[in-house]
Amino acid sequence: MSEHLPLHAVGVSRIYDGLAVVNDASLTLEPGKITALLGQSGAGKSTLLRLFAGLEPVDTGEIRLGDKTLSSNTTHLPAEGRSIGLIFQDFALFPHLNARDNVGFGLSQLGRAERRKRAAEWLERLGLSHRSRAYPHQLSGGEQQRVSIARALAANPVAILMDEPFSGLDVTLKKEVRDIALAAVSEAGIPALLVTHDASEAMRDADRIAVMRDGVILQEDTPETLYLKPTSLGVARALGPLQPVNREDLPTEWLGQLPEAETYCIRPEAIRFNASDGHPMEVISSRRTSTVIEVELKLNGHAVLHGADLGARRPAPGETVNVSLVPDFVFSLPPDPV
Amino acid sequence: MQQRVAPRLPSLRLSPAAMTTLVAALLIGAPVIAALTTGLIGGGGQAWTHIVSTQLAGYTLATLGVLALTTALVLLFAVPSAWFVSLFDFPGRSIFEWALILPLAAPGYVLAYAWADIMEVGGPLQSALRDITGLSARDYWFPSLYSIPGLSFVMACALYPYAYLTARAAFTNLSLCTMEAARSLGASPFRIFIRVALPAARPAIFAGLALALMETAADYGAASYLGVQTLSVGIFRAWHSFSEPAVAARLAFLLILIAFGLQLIERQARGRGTIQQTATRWRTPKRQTLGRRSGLIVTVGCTAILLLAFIFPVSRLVWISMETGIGQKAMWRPFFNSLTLAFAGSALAFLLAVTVVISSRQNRFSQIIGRLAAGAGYAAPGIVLALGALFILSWSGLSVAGPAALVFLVWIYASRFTAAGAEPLNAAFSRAPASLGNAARSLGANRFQRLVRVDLPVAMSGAAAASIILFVEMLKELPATLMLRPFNWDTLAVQAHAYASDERLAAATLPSLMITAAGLLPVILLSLQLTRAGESRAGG
Amino acid sequence: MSHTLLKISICAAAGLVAACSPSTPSSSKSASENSAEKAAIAPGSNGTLRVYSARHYDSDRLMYEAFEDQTGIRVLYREASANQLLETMKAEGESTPADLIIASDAGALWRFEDAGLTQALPEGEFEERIPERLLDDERQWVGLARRVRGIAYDPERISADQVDHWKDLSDPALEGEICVRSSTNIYNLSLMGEMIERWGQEEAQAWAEGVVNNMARQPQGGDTDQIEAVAAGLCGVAITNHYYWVRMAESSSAAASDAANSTELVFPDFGEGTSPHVNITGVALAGPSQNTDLALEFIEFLLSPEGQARLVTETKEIPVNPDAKRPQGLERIPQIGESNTRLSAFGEHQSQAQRTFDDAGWN
Repeated sequence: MSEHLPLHAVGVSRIYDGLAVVNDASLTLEPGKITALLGQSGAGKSTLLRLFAGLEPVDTGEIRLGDKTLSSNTTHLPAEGRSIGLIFQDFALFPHLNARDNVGFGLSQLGRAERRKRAAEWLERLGLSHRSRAYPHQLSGGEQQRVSIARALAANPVAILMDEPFSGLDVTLKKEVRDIALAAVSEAGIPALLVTHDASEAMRDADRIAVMRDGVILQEDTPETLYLKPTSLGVARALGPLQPVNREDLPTEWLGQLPEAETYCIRPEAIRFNASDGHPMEVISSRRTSTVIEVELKLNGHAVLHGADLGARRPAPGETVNVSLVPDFVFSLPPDPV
Repeated sequence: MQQRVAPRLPSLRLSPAAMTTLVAALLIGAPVIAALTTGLIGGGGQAWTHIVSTQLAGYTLATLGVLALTTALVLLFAVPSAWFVSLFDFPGRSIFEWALILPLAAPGYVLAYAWADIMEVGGPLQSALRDITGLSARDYWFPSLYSIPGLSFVMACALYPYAYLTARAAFTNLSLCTMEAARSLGASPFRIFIRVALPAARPAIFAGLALALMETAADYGAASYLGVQTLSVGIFRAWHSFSEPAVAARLAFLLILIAFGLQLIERQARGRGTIQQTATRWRTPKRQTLGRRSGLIVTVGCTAILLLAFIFPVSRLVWISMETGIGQKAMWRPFFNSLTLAFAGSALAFLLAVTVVISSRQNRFSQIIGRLAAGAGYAAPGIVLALGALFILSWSGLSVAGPAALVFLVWIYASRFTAAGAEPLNAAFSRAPASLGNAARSLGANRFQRLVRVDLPVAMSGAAAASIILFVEMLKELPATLMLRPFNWDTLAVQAHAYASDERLAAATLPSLMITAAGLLPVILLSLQLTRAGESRAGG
Repeated sequence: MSHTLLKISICAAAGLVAACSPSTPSSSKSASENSAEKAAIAPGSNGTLRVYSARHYDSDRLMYEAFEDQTGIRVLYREASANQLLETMKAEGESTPADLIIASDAGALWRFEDAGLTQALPEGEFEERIPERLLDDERQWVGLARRVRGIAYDPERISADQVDHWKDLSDPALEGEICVRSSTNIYNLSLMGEMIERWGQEEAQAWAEGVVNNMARQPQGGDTDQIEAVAAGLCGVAITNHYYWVRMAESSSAAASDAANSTELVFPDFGEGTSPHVNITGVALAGPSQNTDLALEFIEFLLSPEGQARLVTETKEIPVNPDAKRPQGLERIPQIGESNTRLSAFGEHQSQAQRTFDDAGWN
């Protein structure tokens, strides 16, 4: 199993009651890469994951591991025959088994001693060797999730699929668990899918991101490309806040930097304050969140422009500031295909 | 001859799961179906007209009266005690926690023998009363146990533990946050009990109560001993005094209707509000220590329940048994017979319950069929099932002599009690989130392996409870055993009944005490196991 | 005792339901069990007899064992109430395994006869040993032991001449004094049957009404409970079968024997020159049975002095064979002679008796 194969979804659809929950989706999970599947709830992410896992049959299209067809409308290899690891939001640890036996669950083909040894190794890798005798209800949430990742990886899967694996955790725990867990996943060198509704999580953790909406994969690329070169409004929205602005509302000195279009979508970080060559604008309100200052500016009399700044001084409402625009964060995109 | 091709029936596709349920359901339901069919097609004739015009209203009213009074008493015994035991600390709490379940080991008819003797005009209670007051037996009124309230009291004593168990589980599972929120809003403990805890625990309490009431409705031993003409006793009489099994089967139909009504009420209550199980674990609820006076009151209350339902009657039987001497009675054989039957019966019932519960999780058809069959079996008193079994025997031309009768009896036991096992199993299965099964699949476990390695162990606490309840109930079973046991094969229940109805209470005490003793160990196991499960769920 | 224990241990060792069921034709005749009982003729070597018995006495089991040891005929028994046995036999029909039916009260035996479940008894020596009255006219059953229905009264409240005829009980002088069990009980039905036979319907009806008027409480409990109620002072008169009183008087429980001894037992008659109500425990031959010879052998045994003694030691019934030893305790009660009422009358009037009670409001 040294040569890991990519996991493909080729034009798969899944229809419930005449409604395509997953609609002609194609996605390739490359070995050694974490692919994030990003979208809001109801976008069909989890269903696509279940199709990959074999928990549900496909209605059209194919799921393939390398050249081998796992699901099509004529064949269906059930989940238990796929060797694809799954990680759930609720951890899904077996309550009647301790941490070590949970990890050893998928190793039933091994002898007892060997199984325990392997389980212990995996627990150690995830920093849990001291908890191996603990039962799930005695473990913290973060520990439970690490056990579930150890359990999935110990079974030597051909791929691993994670369904909102960190959203059940405390904010403070999240980072630590995520770092340990994802390091282990990357190390395994297998295709990995991370289903999430959190854009920042997807961009930070994934090598590639597929944005999904209404059962359709809108775009799939590296986080950087997606953020800076979204091909649709939906993708741009999925990755960060945007505000639409009409061309005629923008100051004329900015228009030269921008391509010809009727409306633009502007991310908050496109706005820069206090540039010497900036356009003077009146501050309506300003508020410091932790890292950034969120500012509302009066634009062309009636419209409002949202911006974010890293500066040390918070402009007071009513103050006039000089504002410039970074065109990399301004998109002119066609409206969403419906 | 030209024949028109019959239009093809829409082929009903039966999955293996549905087939399995169908077979299980037939196994469970056949005796009831046989009895009811006979009731419907067999002419009742004069006896039926006679019973309808003279007895039916009386039977029905007596049964409903007993059910109503038993409900009140069961709630009185079970709910406050469960409330205090699960959420407060008071002297003796840790003992009451498990001891309050003990009456489950004593059959209702045994409590009836003992209490009838205690309350008798020549019994210890009235003798003491006369000695103290100097009154003669004609000078005062004394409540008679040979009455509807008397029977209700006895049945409540024997069966309140069902409601106590479910209520305790529900109170323990109440989220601490809910309780604390209520307290922070200024609610007194009494208000919390009435406004928060009781509504939340109501479905669970109803479930336990329904179980107790179905047993009450089906009871024959206690009612006949106390001479209360319930439907169950009426069924026996229709059969034995009027020699009309078909009439008996018709009366059974009425009893089954009442029992189904109870089930329906229970489902309704359950539908209205269930305690949501959250994924997060509970914190150990810190039990509030009661003040000295209220602590004392609660301790006295719990002690009183235990005295009434268990200690008084059982020690009375022990006393009689010691006073008259044990004699030459060969009790080991019936003891062994009782255990054998209960083991075999609960094994089969457990198997059927697992089949019904698991396949009912596969599809809707199985769910309905399984529920219906198990419910009907449980609702029907043992006598009806035995009747059905005899009808089946006479149709098939088989003889009940020999070991075949045992097989029959085990089958009837299973038919009768599968529902009692299926309920806790089902609850335990539903507690496991679906993601567990998916996780197991992703780790390569097939359907069978998932059942053995995940579903059953996860449901283990419920499964253990289920099988213990089955075992104890079968140990106590009387009417079907009475009718179907083979030659030379007496169980303790049969002997106790035979002696007691022969007015030889002293001889009946030994088998009665032995049933209780045999049931005590499993009941204590159940109690400890449930208590521990409660603690571990609350812990962490 | 060791005998029983050994059997149990064999059962436990085998651990199989079948091995423990003596009705299994072959497996129960295992070598080990035979050797355990080699002292006597191995039971079953001379055939098997199946008995439906409405009695529940440990002494019956010893009686069966004694018969097995003497004859090598295995006895298998099923004990249940008479009604239950009756209905079971009806359900079983021709395939019933029963050979013999033992039931208490002639009224109960009559029900088996009436349902066509019996056949005529074969002729045998037993007939010589018993009074003629105890053999049914149609030979459908024969009495094995006598039971007399009588009255236990409180001598401090009631004098003996107030209760020496059954008719006395309907006398208003006894108002609020009578304790009696429910009328559905066969003992009361048979008693009423004899009244109807002797007095006719109208007088019997008047008697029942008079008794209902004299009751101290609604009928409840069994005969023993009525004696206890007299002892406790709740009533002055209790209707009871003699053996309940004897058992109480003989009980090792001081409370029970004190209670019985504080009362007196009399056997009222049905008018001048008549006898008390003498009923029987009897045996009938099941209709479909082919084992007539074995059954006869068992009946002979039951009516022999040994069988009689075994039959009545624990029950305190009165043996029908005059040569048989009377059980301990019978010396406490008055001697009775034989009645001249046809035993089958009790059964024949049964439904009329129930209606009479119902009409009188005796529940």
